[in-house]
Amino acid sequence: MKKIFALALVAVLACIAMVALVGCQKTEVESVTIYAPDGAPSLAIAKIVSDGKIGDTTATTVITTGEDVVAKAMSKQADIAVLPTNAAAKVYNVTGGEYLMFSVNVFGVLYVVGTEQLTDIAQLNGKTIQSIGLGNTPEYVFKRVLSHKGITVGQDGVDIVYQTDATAIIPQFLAGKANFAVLGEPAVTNLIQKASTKGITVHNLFDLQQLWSEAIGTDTVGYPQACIIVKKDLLADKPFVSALDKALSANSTFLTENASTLTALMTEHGSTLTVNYTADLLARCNVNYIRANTLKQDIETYLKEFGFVENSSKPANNLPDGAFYFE
Amino acid sequence: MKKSLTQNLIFVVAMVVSLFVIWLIASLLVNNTFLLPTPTMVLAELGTLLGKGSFYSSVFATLWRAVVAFAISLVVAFVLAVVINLFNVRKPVSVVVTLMRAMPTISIIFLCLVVFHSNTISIIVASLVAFPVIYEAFDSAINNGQQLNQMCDVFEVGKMARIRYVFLPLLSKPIYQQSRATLPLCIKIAVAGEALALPMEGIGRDMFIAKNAYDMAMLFAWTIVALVICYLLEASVWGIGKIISKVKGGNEQ
Repeated sequence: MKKIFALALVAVLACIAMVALVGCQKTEVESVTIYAPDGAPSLAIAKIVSDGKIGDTTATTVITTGEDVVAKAMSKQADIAVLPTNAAAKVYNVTGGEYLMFSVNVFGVLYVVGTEQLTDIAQLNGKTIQSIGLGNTPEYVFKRVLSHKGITVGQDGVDIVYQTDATAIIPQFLAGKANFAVLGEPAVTNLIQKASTKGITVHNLFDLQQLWSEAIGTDTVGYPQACIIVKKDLLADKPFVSALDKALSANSTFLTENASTLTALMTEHGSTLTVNYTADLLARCNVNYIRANTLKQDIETYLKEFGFVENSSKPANNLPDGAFYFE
Repeated sequence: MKKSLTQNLIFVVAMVVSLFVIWLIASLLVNNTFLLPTPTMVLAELGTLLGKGSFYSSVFATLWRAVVAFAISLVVAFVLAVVINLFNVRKPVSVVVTLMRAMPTISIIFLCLVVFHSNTISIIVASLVAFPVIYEAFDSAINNGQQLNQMCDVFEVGKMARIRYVFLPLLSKPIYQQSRATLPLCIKIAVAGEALALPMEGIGRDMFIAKNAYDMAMLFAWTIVALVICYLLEASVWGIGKIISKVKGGNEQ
């Protein structure tokens, strides 16, 4: 009897010791700096921004321009960066694999808007459309969609006039000089609201995410527009990875529950956007969290539109290998 | 003179080679092709550009805009400088010119974006920047010849004769000097305007595309193209000045 009691006590103590040990496994990462571009991509880390922490790790977030985020990643100053996926691939190639893609977080924010009600994108034929993103996602996505519909680009088809950003397009609408545009959220909502104060009705005509999925024949709605990359060294720390995964998983709920305070939160960390986030707008921003290694096929299809190929003559344009996607 | 030209050429080549070597060393030290692409990467991009037809149409478009902007500034500055000295209306014109000189270029571009077509914005902006510079030089030159002007008043010399025999000779040197200095300035402003207005073709538009594609080597390549164009323009004006000087049999400028 005494022996059985002794054995049971040892077993219980062993269990407690094991639980204590596991519970005491702490991250060795004390602090990280995160860079994110203003707009929808920074919403992908809103919970982290709000908490100022990833588990036990202090997280300092800087919301800045897209170019600055890329520069910080290229110079290895960022520990974590939220980037356009094509930029993330270049960072991986240029830094020799210093960063790995952790997750895809924004699945497209582009919409075609117009002052005329159209029911089919083919009706844009013969019209002039303003667009952001020359040389970047908007150009490639829109052209792919048009190509799929057999619509040519140019004076014989759709005449695309590029502007540097939405702030150059919105005044064109307000001045009555533009009728159609490819814009991203939240600029779309901004335009519709501003136009209505001038008595101009602007309609959100086509969802380019949906049309892209039809064009490339995939079930996933949208394209992997923005992602999170993390320094390889940090990803070796399992407790940190676990905490990051947990924080990002809780982000969607955080966005929904704190929509009204998001603008103030982001402004504190460098955002210059004045947007009134609603559930509707957040849904159109297509912010999500899917681990990158589960989306390799979609990511590669997307990157190929940007000219990424295997064994490119320009090393920066190499299609990243499997090691790019953190497992 | 031939020896001087050869010496100048050797000096320029030596400077270019030195800069190339410094750049190469710096790029190896930085060891980050995004922050500082190597000279070989940039030269490779340059080679690619030179093989494309679109390169030449972009260069021509920018050159055309810069030359048109310069021509507009030159003509308006000339006319204004002559008018204010003929009719003594310096003060109100000076106020306007001072305002134009002080206005930030970027705000001119932003204001023009809404009103004008993207193909003409660079011309307008470059003209507005170049005009005050040229005008001040012309006004100063005519002002320095005030005694001649007063002499014309005394002898009741007609306005057309005054323009032809007094103002034009006074302005010949500033026209040459301003052409050398302001034409390259017009190229720089035109490129900046194109990067913001995104016309159908232009060096600025191509730079914007390179920036958006995070292609720093291509951006460097286009920057070299713009530098070479500025240098060639300045050298062309110098060469034309030399020829005119020889033909006139006058002093070297």
